[in-house]
Amino acid sequence: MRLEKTKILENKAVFKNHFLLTLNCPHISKEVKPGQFINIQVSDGLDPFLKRPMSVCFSKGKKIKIFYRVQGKGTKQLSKRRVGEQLNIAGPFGNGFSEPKNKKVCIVAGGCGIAPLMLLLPKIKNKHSLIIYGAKNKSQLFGKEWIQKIGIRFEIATDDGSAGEKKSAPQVLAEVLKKGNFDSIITCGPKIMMQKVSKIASEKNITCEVSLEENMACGVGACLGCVVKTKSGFKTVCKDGPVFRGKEVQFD
Amino acid sequence: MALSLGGKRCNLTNLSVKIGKIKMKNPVVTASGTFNLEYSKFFDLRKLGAIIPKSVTLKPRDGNPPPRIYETAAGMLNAIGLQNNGLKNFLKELSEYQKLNIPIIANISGETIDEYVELAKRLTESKKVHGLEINISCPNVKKGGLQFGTDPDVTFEIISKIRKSTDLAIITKLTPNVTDITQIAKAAERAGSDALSLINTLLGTAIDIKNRKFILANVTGGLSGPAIKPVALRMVWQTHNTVKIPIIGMGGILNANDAIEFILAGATAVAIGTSNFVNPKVCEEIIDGIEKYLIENNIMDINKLIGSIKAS
Repeated sequence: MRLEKTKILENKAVFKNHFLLTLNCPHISKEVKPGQFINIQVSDGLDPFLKRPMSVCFSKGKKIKIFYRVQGKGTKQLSKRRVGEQLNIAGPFGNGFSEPKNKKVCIVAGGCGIAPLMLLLPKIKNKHSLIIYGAKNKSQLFGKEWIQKIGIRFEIATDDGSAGEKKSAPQVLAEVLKKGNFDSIITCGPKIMMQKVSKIASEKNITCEVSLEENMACGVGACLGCVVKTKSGFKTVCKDGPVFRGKEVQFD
Repeated sequence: MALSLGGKRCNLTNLSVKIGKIKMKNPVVTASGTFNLEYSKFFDLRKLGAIIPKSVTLKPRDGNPPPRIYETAAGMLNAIGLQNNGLKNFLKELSEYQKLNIPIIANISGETIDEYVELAKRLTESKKVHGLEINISCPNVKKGGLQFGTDPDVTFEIISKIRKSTDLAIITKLTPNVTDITQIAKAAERAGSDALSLINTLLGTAIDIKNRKFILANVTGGLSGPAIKPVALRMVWQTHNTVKIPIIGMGGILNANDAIEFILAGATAVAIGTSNFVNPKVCEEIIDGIEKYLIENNIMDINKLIGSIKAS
């Protein structure tokens, strides 16, 4: 965990409102584990004031990549930063996903929830694993070609049916589980989606990990601002998480 | 700071200050609820003047439901609600803090006066802390906190009772959510408080116009950050002109320049809170920056700077 002054190598729109940021940051690139995030100072002044937490989707050599959606002041500001500019970041933070090792895992990604899961995909050794990726339409399937090259079974689902099945990711999961089983399910996406996935996993008695997000301030578990309600009380998404056992989380 | 000149050590400036009985090697302290030992990954925490961990209550508290925080212009609102593991666990966790060999000041909160006294007694007996910061200014709890600190008579009563139960340094943390903070300051001083810390957060709120709801689950929260600095600074200055006991000034300090403003206004020490979130190294940078200012201005002892604001 450290503060690092990084340089922007690329910050391009990959489709409407969604950007891919590439940073030169040798130290954090070496340290970051799948499911962890970094805190980015998106502007030099006081506006916005707090750093923005974002998961790392790719790390190789001195580079890391962040896939993000513009949804508020911070991400809007970030989308305007240019190649060559300096970006101060802190991290990596958070607990990260459990290592898949030889487990037969099912990854369920919804929309830009694919981001933290991307860093995990190359670590999946068991080729009988499955990736289910659901998005609004085919143009919003970020990194589809890259994922196909990983060599694991890959099912796509879109809300409008423009690619893959016209279903939601949880629906695809439910159907897949009728025919086979997995050692664990790992999911990231809209909260409602993760809640459904967690419920399906629980009904089949399969371990499920969810990756949550919350507005944050400190990022290190000091301020207790980013808590989520769990069966063992309020836990910080930044330090106790962002990855939690699905069963632990009280989604409602 | 010491400089080696031809083999002989020579002290260029004195940064050490005293808050009651507490000796600090420099005036920089971490504000309660804004810091933990994770920050050791960003700088050597043994450099700090003192550390004030998260507020402790007798029994464990869950705190408020989320959303608990919200960013505002040059600041943020928080309504954490004093989530903590209670006194027993706090005493256990202190062993990690003790390894730093710097003064530890426990911030204590209660719903009743008796709870404050009980906390003071048990922390004194533990011999694990060097001082007590009395939190009668938290705006995010239903009982205690702000309710006590907005009333000079209640403040006097609590501090007097705590005074009788401990010989540790007592620092009363004041709320700005009052008409005249000097009234509360005077009451705390009369009651035997060794020092004052101010300001706690300003009561505020924020609204989501899309869903037409309050953003914080608690409705209101405490405002902190650079936005509140002018208010905090004014209150430190007013209080300094009213009481004789030392002040730990806080409220929106982002850098050494801000810290020096507070010292000039009358603060003997400064506490850094929200800024830790924005820059995890900020405390170290402020210590170095204050020292640099003293050297550049040929001031040998920081104590000469305290309250030395020139009258216009």
